[in-house]
Amino acid sequence: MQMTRILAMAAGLWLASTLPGFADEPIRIGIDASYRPFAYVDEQGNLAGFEVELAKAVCEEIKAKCDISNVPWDGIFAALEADKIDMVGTTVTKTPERAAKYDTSITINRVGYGFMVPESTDISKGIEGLKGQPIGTINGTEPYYKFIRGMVGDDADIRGYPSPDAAVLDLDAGRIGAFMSDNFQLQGQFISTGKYKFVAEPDYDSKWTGAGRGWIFRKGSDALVKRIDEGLKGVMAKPIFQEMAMKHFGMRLRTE
Amino acid sequence: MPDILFQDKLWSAVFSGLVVTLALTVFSMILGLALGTIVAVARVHGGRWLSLAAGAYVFVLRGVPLLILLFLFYYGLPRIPLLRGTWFWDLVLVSPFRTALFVLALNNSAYLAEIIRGGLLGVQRGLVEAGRAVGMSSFLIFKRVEAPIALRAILGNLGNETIAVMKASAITSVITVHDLMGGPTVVGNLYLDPFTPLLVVGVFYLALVAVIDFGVGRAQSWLKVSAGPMPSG
Amino acid sequence: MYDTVAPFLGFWTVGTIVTLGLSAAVFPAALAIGLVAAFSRFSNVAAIARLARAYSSLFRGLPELLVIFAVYFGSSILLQKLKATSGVALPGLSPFVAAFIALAVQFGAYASVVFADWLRVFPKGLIEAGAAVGMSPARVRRRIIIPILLRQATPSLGNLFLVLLKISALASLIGVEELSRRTGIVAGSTREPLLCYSVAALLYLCISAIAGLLQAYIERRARRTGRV
Repeated sequence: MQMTRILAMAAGLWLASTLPGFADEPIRIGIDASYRPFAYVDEQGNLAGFEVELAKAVCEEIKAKCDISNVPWDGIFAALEADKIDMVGTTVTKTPERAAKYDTSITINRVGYGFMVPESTDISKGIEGLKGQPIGTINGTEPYYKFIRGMVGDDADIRGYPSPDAAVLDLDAGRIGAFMSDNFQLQGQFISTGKYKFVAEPDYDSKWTGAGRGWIFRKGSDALVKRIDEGLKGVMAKPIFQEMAMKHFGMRLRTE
Repeated sequence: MPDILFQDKLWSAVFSGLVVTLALTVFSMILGLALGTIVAVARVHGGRWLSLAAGAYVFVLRGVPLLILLFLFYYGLPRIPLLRGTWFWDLVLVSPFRTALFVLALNNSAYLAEIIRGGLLGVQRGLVEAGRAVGMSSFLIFKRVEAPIALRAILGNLGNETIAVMKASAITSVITVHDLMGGPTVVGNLYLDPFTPLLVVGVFYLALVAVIDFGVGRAQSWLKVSAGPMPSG
Repeated sequence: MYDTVAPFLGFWTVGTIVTLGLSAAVFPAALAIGLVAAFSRFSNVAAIARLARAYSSLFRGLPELLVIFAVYFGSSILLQKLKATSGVALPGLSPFVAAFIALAVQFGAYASVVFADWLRVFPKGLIEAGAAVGMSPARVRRRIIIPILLRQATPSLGNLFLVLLKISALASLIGVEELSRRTGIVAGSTREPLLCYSVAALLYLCISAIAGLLQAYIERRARRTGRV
């Protein structure tokens, strides 16, 4: 009967679509789009920001279809491990722990770590002067915690904030003596407003900053990583890369 | 065996977080019960304006999520220059833990006020009228009739609320307070294991809930709450 | 200042609707599960009573995030295993459905405790009256006990709904774009967290107002007519 045949065809197509290689499956990229200008949602509801544009540029470079979805940071690694996404498109620090557990892309940019204080603070004593005060940073970012402990002392009172904006609110309120983060964010987002300044020159020592920032994949994604790396190399060699950086951050990215 | 289980960091986060959770739960329940009872009585027995004010209190403090209450209190209030020099700043706001406790207590008191109000309203009219018929004053009726019945009816509910507060305290990480849920999940981030810390923490929560349930059960048998009204079958 | 957030109001409102929709879908399911579990607690069959008590302890004890993750990611893993062993590929649970299941089961546990409480102090006389008129236990349950139970439990259930409303925010971690997550997104786009959280507070109060009005209506009707 007509109906049975249609149903059979539909079932057949559906089953076939679950077989590998049936269609060119898109690369599922998860990005936490909740912080302008890295990745955010614009007024039309579309994903925007540097990380989003870079991902799209790389996909275009390798002629792959990409599905970029907005995944909250707290659920992003769970999504990666449970195979809901293939890649974390938020640029994260390539720590040794992460390299052991996941596959990583080539380094997209390198950052320096620094302490930020309000413009009016006396910084004549440098980082030594921060001892004894609570220091704020982004919650859970172990490379930052290590840096603070290394610079200020093992007993430092480290306060972990959910976002840079929250930390800076507390800096203004006087609950923390300084906010520690990467110079890229500090410079571009806060210091450029003139209300804040660095305590000392940002520290690029790879003992703290690891192998720079990149993208993360499940272990064993060799084929995918190779393709993405090629795309990244291609895009990073073109002027569009630093143009995107200038557009979103007003600064060039350091890749070495 | 996931190797995060062998990391000191995880267990120190679990135990320091446990202390924070217990402290926040116990103190906000005590403060919440005190405040909540006042508000509940105001709503049930108070005059028009009093019960309206109490109603507004309950509405705002239950309606706005704890996350937002915490955020606005902790990050928002310091921007009001007037508050900076006051005792409120020194006593509460300057400390993330104390601010968390304060806001949790307020939020909790609103939920408790509703639970207590439900208990008071559930007392059958006939019993209250009987009390009035034998000449009891309103206060005596409250003390001898309403309160005991209400208390028995809501014990399980109070247990629910305690459990809810215990779990809700996880949100205080947004103002840098790390409890049983917040601390270990940060360690999970570090060791890139989002699932194992949740399981470990889950076991602890189950144990705490068992303790609370046990406590409620003991309270119920001590107050001689009946075993159930059901017809057989 | 308000012009920075104004363009996002549409985006925000969809989040509000998702939050309301998820909670409104979960709540009746949780109540149904709660009623079954509450009655089972008092069953004469010891195994059923034990099971009901274990269910309520377990699901009140587990962190909500764990249950949501377990349902969403766990079902994925199970389906993958199924596909690997038998070649049958079933569609996975959408985040909304997974959140629905997880929340209904968990809040059913809370509801069961509320109902069990009121069952314990239920006036026996009413049940006996029903039996005296020849009603079967099932009939007594349906016509006498449940309506009164629902009425007495309304304030507590109102509480539960509001708690559900907030907890549903956890569904955002598996991809449900509800109000809390959308608020965070707007805060990240506008870089004005205090302003955004204030707006979100108002949006949540709107939802709570709707729920509160409904609850007041139910309570008023019940008091007047004696039934729900």
